[in-house]
Amino acid sequence: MTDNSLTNISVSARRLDTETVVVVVTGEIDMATVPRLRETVNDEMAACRSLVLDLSKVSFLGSAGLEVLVEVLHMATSRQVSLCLVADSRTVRRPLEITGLAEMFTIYPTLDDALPTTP
Amino acid sequence: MNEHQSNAEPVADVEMRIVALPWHLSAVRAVAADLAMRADFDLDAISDLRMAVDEACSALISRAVEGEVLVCRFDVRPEQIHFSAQVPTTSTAAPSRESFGWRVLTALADSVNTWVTTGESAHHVLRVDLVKKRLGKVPQ
Repeated sequence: MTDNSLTNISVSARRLDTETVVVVVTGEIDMATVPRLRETVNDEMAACRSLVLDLSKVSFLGSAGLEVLVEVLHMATSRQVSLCLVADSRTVRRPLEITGLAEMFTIYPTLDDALPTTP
Repeated sequence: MNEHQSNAEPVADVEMRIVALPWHLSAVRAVAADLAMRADFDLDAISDLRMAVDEACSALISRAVEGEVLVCRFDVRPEQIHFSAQVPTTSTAAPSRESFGWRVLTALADSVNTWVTTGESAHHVLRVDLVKKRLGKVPQ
């Protein structure tokens, strides 16, 4: 972490059960903030079977963020962790669509849609 | 007279100078979005311009001489916005057009160009220019 206070992101992780972690990203994902996202996802991916990356509160997603999403996807595939994204806004969907990356991910419009229904 | 301009460019509608650090990308994006919104860009075009400006400036910042200043210019025309940014760099090579970020930039903008020139000081100057039209592109 830098001591520059002009950061625009918060990344929090919560464990839903023994297998599932939800990582919630709030704010802007860009060249400055992407290390924080990468760090959290790397940590959480090591200890779950299912990762839900909630991007519904993301206010900016550029190519730095898209690159990390692709990295996360590759990591999930190689670790056999199931990965999905939560995204409903133009801010997140547009970059994914315009780069053709949307097809590579499972994307739900809301967190509720992404989570397994409790019996 | 502005001694820092190496060529006689007219003053743009909006010019901003930021220290070439990633922390300040947010400010350039905010100006891009504001101008696009007030120029009646459609929502996709606003989003695309914001991303394109971010991409261009990120590429420049990652190649900037440490401590140097990134100069950004926005020109608002009736149907499009012209954006240009430049920064002193030690390399003579422009960003690779094969990189992911560059391909994203060409998908977003209606035209993009990049080149390196010799600046007034010892450094080269890397520049990126792009044009974004008011009506957004349809994804392929």
